[in-house]
Amino acid sequence: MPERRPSVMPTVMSSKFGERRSLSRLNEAELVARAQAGDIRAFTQLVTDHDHSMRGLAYSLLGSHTAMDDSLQEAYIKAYNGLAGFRHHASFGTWLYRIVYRSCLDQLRTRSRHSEVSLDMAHDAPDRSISIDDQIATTDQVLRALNTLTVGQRATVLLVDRDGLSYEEAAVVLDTTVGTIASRLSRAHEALRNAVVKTEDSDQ
Amino acid sequence: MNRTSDEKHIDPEVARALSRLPRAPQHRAGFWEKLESELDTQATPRRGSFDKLRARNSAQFRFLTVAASVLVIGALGIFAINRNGEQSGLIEVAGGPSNTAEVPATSEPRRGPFTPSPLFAERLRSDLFHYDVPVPDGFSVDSESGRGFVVTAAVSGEFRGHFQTSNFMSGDVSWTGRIEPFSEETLVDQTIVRIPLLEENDEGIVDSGEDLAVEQYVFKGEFWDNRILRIYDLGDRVVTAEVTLTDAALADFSAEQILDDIRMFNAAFQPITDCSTRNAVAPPVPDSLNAAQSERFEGIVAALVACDWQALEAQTDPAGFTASFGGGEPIPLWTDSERYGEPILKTLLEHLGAQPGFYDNGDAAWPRPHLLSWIDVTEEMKEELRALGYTEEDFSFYEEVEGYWGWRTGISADGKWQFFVAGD
Repeated sequence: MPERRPSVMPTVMSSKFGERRSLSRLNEAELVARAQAGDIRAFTQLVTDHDHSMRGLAYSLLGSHTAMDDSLQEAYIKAYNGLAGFRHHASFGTWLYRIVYRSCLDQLRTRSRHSEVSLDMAHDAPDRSISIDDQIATTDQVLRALNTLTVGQRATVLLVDRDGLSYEEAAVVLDTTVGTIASRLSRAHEALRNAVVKTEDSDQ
Repeated sequence: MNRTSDEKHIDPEVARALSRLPRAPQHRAGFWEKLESELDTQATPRRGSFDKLRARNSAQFRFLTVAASVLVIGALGIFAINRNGEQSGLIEVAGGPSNTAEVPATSEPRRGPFTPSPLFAERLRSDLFHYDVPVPDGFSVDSESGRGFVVTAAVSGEFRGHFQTSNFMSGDVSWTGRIEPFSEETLVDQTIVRIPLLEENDEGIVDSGEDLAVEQYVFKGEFWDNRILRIYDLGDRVVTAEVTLTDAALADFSAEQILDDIRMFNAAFQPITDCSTRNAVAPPVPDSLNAAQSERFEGIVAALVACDWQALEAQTDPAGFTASFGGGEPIPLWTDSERYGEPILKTLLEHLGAQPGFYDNGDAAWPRPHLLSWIDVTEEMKEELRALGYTEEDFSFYEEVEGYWGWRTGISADGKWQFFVAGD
């Protein structure tokens, strides 16, 4: 038997932390390739990179910290199991958005949580960049306005107006057409403006 | 309204308002640990199979429950079939629809090319998770696929009706190595293992009286993983099984931790030859389709009515066909559904019998409400959906999500069959 050669990897690589640090140097395509080969840590690195956006969508749609976590657990597991089918027709982020959106819909469908959206969110994570008074008013207004939208409109406006997806990317995520995205946005914008104006009037 | 893919139409007022939304909170403590733990579990091959079989209360499950009592329950078995180094397709996408099915070829490696060392050039022509191996003529494979590698494979054919092999190891299993694991330098042991073959007959599970000689190669990893490669020589074909033990780069690592579960099944996972659309009435080709779409439509319908799984697979777009948002190749998914009583092909045929809608680029999709916002779906269209089995409860959900969310299928303007999926 040949003698074992000394390790070619530095000691730090034997820890998960070191591994993560190493993985972070890989680009997305490389991470996807490794994840598709079954590397769980490459996969978690991938979803970690996109987690902020996914949390934003899930939290805005579900309105609950617990539901967000549950939904994303389910979505990430589903994404892992579906990685073999990811063929780079869309970016990994768009593909992941699509799965997360479906997971959120499943949550909404089974738990009928639609009406709870604004309540949890309004008290969960205040935006400290503006004054408390302004924050309460504006946040409530926006939340109330969002609650006047359907889930489809809400998702569309969040993806396009907040997260900056193109119409085509949003259409992929929401599994609809670009034309539908445009019409949803039009209705959503109108509804949001109306709701904010009404809220401001009633608050005065 | 049509917009290009690059165009972003962000309403500044709306964007400003949305910026006031509360930021999503960080995950609760333990989120990532729980996820990794769950993914580890998902990577354990038999668990999924067992759950599925248990749920269906199948004979296979009852049998496997008995078999499990003699096994070390552990982690991962990665299997491939190899015959004389010939190359064809991925075993993981096999799931042969008939006993003459070839594994579909694919050009998508899971990771970089693997150059086998001279020691294995004759017998193993595969990447770690990418098996360029043929299924011998007259054999089919049912496999449980997991993230780019095969976790179990059942090979059926002339070898005593059916053959299944699974390996179990304890420990954390994953691929993390950065150096070539298979080399003469890392080979630490080479032995012949003799495994008694069991079979199931009227008396139950009994010793068949025969042994299977298995060549076993043990590779000691240079930093954190070890590999064991087993070659099951079945005479006219070879099954290779490879396992990786991440935590096994230890002094006390022993290949003896592996036990094999090799059984003969006479009834389990027989190739499925029938389906829910055999001799069904073929819907007419919609006039609205162009020539390429019409030809594809006719091909799909003909394959469905004939229950010709291979012909059906040939109709799918080789560049990418979506059968499930959770991943998976269409034919294995559909054969599995049909095998366990879900008439998915009937569902497909019925939906093709509905009226299609068309995207701006000419791509067709069935049923047409898929292309519309739900508020634009007419009563006539809803009636079509009711005929397909959709209910008012479904409609309420579609109203909430602003779109049809049921089964849908599509053929591109140039005649490529691209998807057949349900909403979730």
